[in-house]
Amino acid sequence: MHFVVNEAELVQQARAGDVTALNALYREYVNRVFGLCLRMVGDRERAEELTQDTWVQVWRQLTSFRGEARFGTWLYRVAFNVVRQAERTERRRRQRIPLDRSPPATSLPARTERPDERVALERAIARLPDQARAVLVLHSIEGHTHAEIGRILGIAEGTSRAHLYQARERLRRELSE
Amino acid sequence: VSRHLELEEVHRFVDGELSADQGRRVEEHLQSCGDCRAWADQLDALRQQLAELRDAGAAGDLWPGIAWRVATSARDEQLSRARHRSSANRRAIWSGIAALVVVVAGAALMLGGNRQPALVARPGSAAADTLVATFVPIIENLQRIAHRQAVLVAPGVAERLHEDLTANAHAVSEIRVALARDPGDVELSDELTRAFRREVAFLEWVVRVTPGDAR
Repeated sequence: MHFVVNEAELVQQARAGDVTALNALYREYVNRVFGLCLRMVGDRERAEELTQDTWVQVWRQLTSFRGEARFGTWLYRVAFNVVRQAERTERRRRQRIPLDRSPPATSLPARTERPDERVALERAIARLPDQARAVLVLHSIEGHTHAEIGRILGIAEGTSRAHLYQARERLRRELSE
Repeated sequence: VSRHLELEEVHRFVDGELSADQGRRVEEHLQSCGDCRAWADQLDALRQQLAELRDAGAAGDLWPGIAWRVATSARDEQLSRARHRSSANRRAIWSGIAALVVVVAGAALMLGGNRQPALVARPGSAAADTLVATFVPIIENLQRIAHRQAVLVAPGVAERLHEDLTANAHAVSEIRVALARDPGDVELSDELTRAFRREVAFLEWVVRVTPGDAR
């Protein structure tokens, strides 16, 4: 028998410690969280690690989720903070141990059947500044509104728009060269 | 040709965020301005390309790793709370024993007897038997449910759950062996109670978090 349980109920059950409910939420959102992590770090393996970290953080922090925002919005905020924290840690590590070679190239264009344009676009996205890339991914790829992006990233709607326009202009110029 | 479009104007146009009037004015401008037309076309093509990236492909099966980390995190919190409670309980027990010693010793002195008073009753094997009779049926029942439900979770997680269940059972078994050698040892008896309680708590937690057919 198939039981239809709405998202709010699943969130409540997961908050109460029900791992089965967390699993149902995971199945619903995992690919979107993975997509966000992948676009932010440009490496599938690293993105999978960060996706795992995100869900462990969701489990730990669910008691602080009061349902004021949509669960999806709150989840993206958790994911974005996980990515941001990982990037800070990575930067600190690089400062302590300077590499004598350039960092590895992005592993985004892993599918060889992709047209060159798509590969070029993904590489250009990976080169965007962090905040501009985050806004571009959330708006133009994941389909969030500027109001939602403001809540996820903790910035004003106007700032979100400014980052988006800056990111798109940069991509447009790079891709038309 | 009127002035070129502003940055925000053309981006909002491409995103469909302009009002009908604003949109019509931009359309009119684009009819007569090749530069702005090319700009808007490039942005619109970019918008479509970006939307097509939405499908980043599926992540691998990450759930076993997440379930294990969630399980470990919950168990650690539980053990930490148990340790805190256990330490508080131990303080309460020793305070109680101290009070009892004072009362019994005082009563013995008041009775004026010269015999050495038995300060506290030692639990003896009867106390251990009572603990076993109380806890073992509960644990066995929970173990049956936990093992049945553990097969429903990912193999890696089930394996780690099984390891933890075995470790708990082993700890209980060791204390019981030691207590059989020295049935009057108060600390061992107390340790057995705590080990039983830990095992019950852990089994209850396993039953709660694994996808059970009993629920």
